[in-house]
Amino acid sequence: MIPVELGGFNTLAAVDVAARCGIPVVDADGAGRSVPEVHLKVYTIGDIPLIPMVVADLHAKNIVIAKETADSKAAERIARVLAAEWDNSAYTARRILTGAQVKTSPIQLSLSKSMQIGKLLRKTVDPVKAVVKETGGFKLFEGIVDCCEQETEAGFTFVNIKLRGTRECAGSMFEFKAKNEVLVAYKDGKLAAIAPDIITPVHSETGKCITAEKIEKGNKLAVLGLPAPQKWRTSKGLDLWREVLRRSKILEEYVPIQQLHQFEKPNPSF
Amino acid sequence: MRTLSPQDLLDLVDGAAIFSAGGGGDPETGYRIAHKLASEGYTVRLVAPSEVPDNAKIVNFACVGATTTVEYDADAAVKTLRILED
Repeated sequence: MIPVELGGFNTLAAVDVAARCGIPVVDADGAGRSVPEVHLKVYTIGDIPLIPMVVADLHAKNIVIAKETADSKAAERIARVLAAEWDNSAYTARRILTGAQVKTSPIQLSLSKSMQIGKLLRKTVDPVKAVVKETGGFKLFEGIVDCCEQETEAGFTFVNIKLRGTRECAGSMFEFKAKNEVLVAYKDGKLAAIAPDIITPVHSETGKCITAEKIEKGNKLAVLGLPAPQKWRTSKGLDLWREVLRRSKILEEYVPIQQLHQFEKPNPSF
Repeated sequence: MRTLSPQDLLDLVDGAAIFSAGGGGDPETGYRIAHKLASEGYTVRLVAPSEVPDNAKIVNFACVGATTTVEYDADAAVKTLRILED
C-alpha cells in the first residue's frame, strides 16, 4: 500500500486500510503534498497509468471499476463525477505499482519526514519557526481572518480567505484561494506563493494545519509556504499544475517560492 | 521495516497536514483513525522503498471529493481495496 498524497486524513485512510488488510505501508507518496485532482501525481509525469481504478461510495454500496481510460485526466473526471453524484465523496483504490517503480517514481521517505514534522510540532516551543526551518519554507503571513467565502460544488470545496496582518505583518493584507487545496496567495495584492509550492494555513500558536474549509472569521492564522518537491518543478510537472490553475482562473505563471522571497531572511534567529 | 506506535500515527497526521496546503481531509478524522487502529489492536508497518522487493505489487488508496463532506467507513474502504486486489 502507498498513500496517494500527504494530508491529515487522506494519508491515514491509506494507513488504516493497509493495517486492516495486514499489509505494510511504503514510506513514500504520490505527490509530496495534497493535490486537488486525482491525476495530479508525480506518476503522471512519468506516464505511469492511473488504471485499473476502483471507485466506491463512502459505504461501498455502489462500486465502479475503470479498466481503461484515455489518460489519467480522464480517470480523474470519472472519479470526480462519481464523487459529485455520491454526496461529493468517494474512495478510490487504483494504480498498481511494482516494487521497482516505488523506488524511483513516488516522493521518497515522505511519511517518516511527516512524522518528524509532527514530533517537532508537539515538542518545540515555537512550532511555526521550527517547521519553517525544517522544511526550508517561509512564514508568508500572520493575521486575523477578515473575510471567508466557501462553496462546495462538483466534487470540490472552493474557499477564499482574506486576512488582516498582526504582529510583524500589521498594516498588510493577505488573500488566498483554495480548490480543496490552497492554490495561490497574495500579500498586499502581490503574488506571495503559487502551486505547486505548498501554501498551508496553520494555527499561529500551535503551528498545526487548519484545513481551508474550517477557517472562520476571527481565526488567528499563520500561513506557511513550503517549496514543492523537485519533480513538480520540472516543465512537465508545471504543465499539469498550470492547466489546473487556469481552470480556477489563476493566470499567474509559477515563480518558485525561494525566488519570491529571496530577499527575506526566513529564520533570523537560527 | 518498522512498526508505528500510536504516537507515531498522531505525529503522522499533524506532519502530513503541514504538507496538505489546507486540504487532504480533516486531521480530526485522521486522529480518530489513529485512535481506532490502536484501540482495536491493529499493527501499522512502515517499509522503506529500498526494502520493497522489485516484483511486489503496491496499491494506491485515497478518498476523492469535496473536503467538506468526507466521512470515513473503514469496512467500505477495505472492501474497495479488496475489489482492486481481485
